[in-house]
Amino acid sequence: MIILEILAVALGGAVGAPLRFAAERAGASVTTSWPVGTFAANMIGSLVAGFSAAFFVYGHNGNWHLLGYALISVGLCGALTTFSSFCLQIIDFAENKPSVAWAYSVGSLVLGLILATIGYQIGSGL
Amino acid sequence: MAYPEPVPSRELYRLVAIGGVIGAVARFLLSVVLPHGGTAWPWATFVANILGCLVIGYFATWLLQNLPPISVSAQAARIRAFVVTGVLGGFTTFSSFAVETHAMAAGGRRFMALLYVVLSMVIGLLAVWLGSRLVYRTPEALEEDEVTG
Repeated sequence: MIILEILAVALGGAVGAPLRFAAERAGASVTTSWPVGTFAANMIGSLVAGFSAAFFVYGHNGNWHLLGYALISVGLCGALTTFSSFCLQIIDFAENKPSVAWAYSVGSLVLGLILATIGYQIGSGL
Repeated sequence: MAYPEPVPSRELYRLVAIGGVIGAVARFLLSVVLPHGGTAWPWATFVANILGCLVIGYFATWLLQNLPPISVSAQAARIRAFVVTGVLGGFTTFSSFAVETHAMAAGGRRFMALLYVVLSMVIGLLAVWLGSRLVYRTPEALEEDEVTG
């Protein structure tokens, strides 16, 4: 089973990381005053991962839920979202635009947690 | 962030995808080695995120000091796409971090959830700074390198 899980994670990662890259490039073409692309990727990923955690792990039984969780939560959402770029961007903005660093970090944390909760509740309801 | 034409978009996307697969699978294997229950402290994600922050600080500064900006350097654009966006972006995760925090808080472990957020942020930011310091060289030192070759 673990081989299949690894394949599912790899497939999700192969889709999630390029999606984030696309979001970053699209965001940078709109504005460079704050990292809107990474923000969008992290927020959408948190919503979908919240849904996936409830839907695949607690909502249903059977072996296929392990693969669904590996594909969507671990692979797709895990690679669509990033914690390393998030922290790097905060450090980058902290020097010259501390207000952006604060708004971006606190906003991401609060909204990300809210979206994960909403996703989880939608996933438990199905 | 306008990318130069020398590196076709298709190639950058391929590098990000390959890096993303490597990072995501590495994170999954870490979670196999460090498993955790629903509301327990998520060591695997915590370690992956902090480690990723350390390495991204190192690489971002290394790129700045050793190569021209990605807008003009094809090599810098490739390395950044593969290492920073692909491998490190795939290895670290914001979504698991958010879902785990919710699981702890919803499971009644509110203090642990708060501690998880605060420690991830504080140590993550310190790790970026530390990684950057490990490779940072003063403008004088860089200039000396250029003079002596």
